[in-house]
Amino acid sequence: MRCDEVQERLSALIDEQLSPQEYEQLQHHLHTCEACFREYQELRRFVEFCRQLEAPEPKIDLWREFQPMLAEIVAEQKIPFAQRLRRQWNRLVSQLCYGIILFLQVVTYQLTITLSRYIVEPERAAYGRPAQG
Amino acid sequence: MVLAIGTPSEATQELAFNMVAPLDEDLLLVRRCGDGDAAAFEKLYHKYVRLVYSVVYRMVPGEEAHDLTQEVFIRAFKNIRSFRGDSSFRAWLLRIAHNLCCNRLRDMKREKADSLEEMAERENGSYEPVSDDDLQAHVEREELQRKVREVLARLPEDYRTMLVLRDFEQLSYEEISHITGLTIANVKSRLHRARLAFKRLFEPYYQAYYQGVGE
Repeated sequence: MRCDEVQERLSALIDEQLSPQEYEQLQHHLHTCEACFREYQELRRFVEFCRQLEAPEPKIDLWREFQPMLAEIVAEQKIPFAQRLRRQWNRLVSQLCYGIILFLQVVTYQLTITLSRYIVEPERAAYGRPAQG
Repeated sequence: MVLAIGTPSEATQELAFNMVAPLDEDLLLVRRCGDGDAAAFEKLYHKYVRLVYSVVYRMVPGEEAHDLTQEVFIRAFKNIRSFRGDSSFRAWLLRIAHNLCCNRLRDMKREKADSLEEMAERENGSYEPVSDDDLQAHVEREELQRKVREVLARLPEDYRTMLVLRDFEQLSYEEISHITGLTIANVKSRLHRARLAFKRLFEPYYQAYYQGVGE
């Protein structure tokens, strides 16, 4: 086996994911190639480091926070399907109404700006002209 | 002790039961959850919350880990009936966590937030009230966790996933394949490249840490 072929398989060797034949070939190469053996040792060292690192702990009591959420979901699931569907439909309709109102407000605002160019601006320009007579 | 052929000893029976029992216990709890038993879900929650939090914490920088952890379990409870037992419950749960993390990371990129690395760097460890004797060790541990998280944030998402699931949480290749949707061959090759990338980036911190503790 060439060195590049061996180095590609180092992770599999560490994780014992090689076939018996591959394992024998790698072991033979590592016994004879100092560079690859050093690479294997360093990689193994990092993998061991990661494995022994303590898991991060939550900073709050997650269950105490989750319990009311779960209770709400359970309560919602106990509602009859038709009633749940009606509730979701009402929620959808109210959101749609909010969306339409917001859309109309934006359109009104844009129209105001556009119309002001044709009504307010000419009047301003007229005021700016010197008086006739 | 002479054994009759085909009759396992008590020790063998106990060993077989202990190997099989954890999976059966999860399946039983899942079935009870499907029938609306919230107490069964509570057991599953307590069993896997630290694992899910650990994965989410390392996958997504910033202060998202708590909320995302809760979201994972909310989705798991709502979809508990879709769990068919074709994988371990642990793998099924982490698949939900993985998908949520990927979605969140995509949203963060779209929001053009600070780079993930900068978010990880800004995060301050919290100091829990510990005794004076443990304070030094606690600070060192927090600092190490922070550095690991910073380096993980610098890696591509798929590399980070491989490292978190295999090297930090010791999941099997089959479970990782199920969680990520990759073939086992792809898992192997990506894991190897991930390890090399992590080693290259973490080497300076690793040397400094072990010099500090006098290895």
